[in-house]
Amino acid sequence: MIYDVAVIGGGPAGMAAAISATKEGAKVVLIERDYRVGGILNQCIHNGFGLAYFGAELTGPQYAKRWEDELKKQKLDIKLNTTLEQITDCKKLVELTVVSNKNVEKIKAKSVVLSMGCRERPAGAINLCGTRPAGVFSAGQAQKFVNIHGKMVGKKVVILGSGDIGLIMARRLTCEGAKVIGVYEIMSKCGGLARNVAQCLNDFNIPLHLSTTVVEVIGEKRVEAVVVAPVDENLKPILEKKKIIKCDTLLLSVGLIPENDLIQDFDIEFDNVTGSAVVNEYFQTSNSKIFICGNVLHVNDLADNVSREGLQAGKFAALFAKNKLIPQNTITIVHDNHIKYTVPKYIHTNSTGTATISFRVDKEYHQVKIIAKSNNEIISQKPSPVVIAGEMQSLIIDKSKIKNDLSLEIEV
Amino acid sequence: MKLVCIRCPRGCNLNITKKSNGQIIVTGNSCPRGEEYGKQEITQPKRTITTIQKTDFGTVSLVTSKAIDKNLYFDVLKKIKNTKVKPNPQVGDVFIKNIFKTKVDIIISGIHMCE
Ligand SMILES: Cc1cc2nc3c(=O)[nH]c(=O)nc-3n(C[C@H](O)[C@H](O)[C@H](O)COP(=O)(O)OP(=O)(O)OC[C@H]3O[C@@H](n4cnc5c(N)ncnc54)[C@H](O)[C@@H]3O)c2cc1C
Ligand code: SF4
Repeated sequence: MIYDVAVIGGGPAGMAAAISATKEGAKVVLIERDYRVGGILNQCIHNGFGLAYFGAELTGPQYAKRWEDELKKQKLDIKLNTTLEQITDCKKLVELTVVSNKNVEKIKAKSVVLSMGCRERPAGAINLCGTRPAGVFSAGQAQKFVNIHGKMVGKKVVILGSGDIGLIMARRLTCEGAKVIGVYEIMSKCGGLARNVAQCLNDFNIPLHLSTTVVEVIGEKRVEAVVVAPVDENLKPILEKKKIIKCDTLLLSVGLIPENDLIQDFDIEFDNVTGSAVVNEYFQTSNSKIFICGNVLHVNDLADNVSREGLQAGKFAALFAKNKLIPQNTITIVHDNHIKYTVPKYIHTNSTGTATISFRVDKEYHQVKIIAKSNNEIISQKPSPVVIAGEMQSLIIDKSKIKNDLSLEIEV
Repeated sequence: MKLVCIRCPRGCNLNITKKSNGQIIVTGNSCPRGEEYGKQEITQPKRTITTIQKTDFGTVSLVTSKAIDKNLYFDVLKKIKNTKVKPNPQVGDVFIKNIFKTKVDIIISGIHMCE
């Protein structure tokens, strides 16, 4: 059997893609390695999801359930406990090798939506000196142990990195009876949202130490202590000022990277800033059969945005499979150096409808205007009191106004 | 008083002042929810509490049906830990009704099997 669209990964991106592709009349298969859909949301039991999409403040599992309920109303094949192992380009089709608890299977599809999410940077990615005892976890790993398995990870915890998952876990472990000694961040600014500093740290008197890092882990079988030190302006630890902190657990919340191993051996255009493929406004990569969305494309901070991307990617993958997505001229979206990258990178000219351009800025700016220009004329703009690197920005563009070029600028 | 609004990811910086007539003025908010939060926070702070309870198959995740008096945070957690999950739990079930007579329920937000 040949599917129109195969969706890989059943997180918010994949569920939305599968729903919209099916609604477009495509024959869809959704492949998910876990026993259920929902992705990382299942372990994010805290609230704060869905405000943008549903106008309601939901927990991760509740947000996932709303999409799962919608998914179950559609006619499509869902393969759970099934992992994608390999993608092969067979000219007009894509062949997927998938492994389940029963067998190894080859699935053919006219187009593929990749929505495998992201994973955490592991301890190996940040040169930590010292021994390798038990008790060092990534924050997401700890989140799964505590929330899904009901198992505590430790009693006295140090958190390295102030990403949102680390902040959320500081509160979570405190609620489960652990003592969280502090959160240590090498940069001079907190990586996570201000609201998470307020409600996860300040509410529980957990200190946040900026410009400070962990330089060594001590312990034979289990973590016994970590050595922390402030850093200078070049982020070099000032070892004369180091301090030993007794603890039994070290959590790392040091960033996320797209789950992109499978695409790397595929010949598609890549972006070193996002660490993933480059797309046009249809979420289509340089291999026209392959679409990509959600955290495997670029790490999002809001699940709501991920769902929106999924809806778009699924729709266009279905149109492509049905030969309704006619290849047309695209141009590169250029941007000034306040902007780190844009998704999409390419956009069609001679086109209609709207497109959302998502991007991140390099640092914090106040009282700015986000401006899109074509042919030296402003075609879209929006004022913003503050833009920060940690928060994804976006601008909606009326595509009919695009001439032969498109540039995105931050007017500071 | 300065506060960060926690009602959405934007995290607006609120400035809260109390007039002599008792009226509370909130500025810095980008939407009405911020004003509501600011007023609440300096009179009777409330939080949405989320946690889990263990079961023989894994866990159920739990959430307060609405924000609850912040002073009750650890009492709520303790009460949950001392309450058993009934057989065949479903998402949306009330786990504890009207906890500490606050008119807030504890709701099952998810069922999690561990492999
Ligand atoms: C630990 C962690 C905690 C987070 N916490 C928050 C938070 O609190 N709030 C927030 O807004 N965002 C949070 N995020 C970001 C969050 O990932 C996104 O908001 C959103 O859930 C991403 O959706 P997604 O569908 O792109 O990816 P995911 O939700 O990660 O879904 C990807 C799915 O693909 C499946 N998959 C991967 N590879 C394969 C394969 N080869 N074959 C088959 N299936 C595969 C996975 O099992 C998973 O179900 C967190 C991220 C992580 C990693
Ligand atoms: S004031 Fe409104 S926009 Fe600002 S953080 Fe609060 S809820 Fe969000």
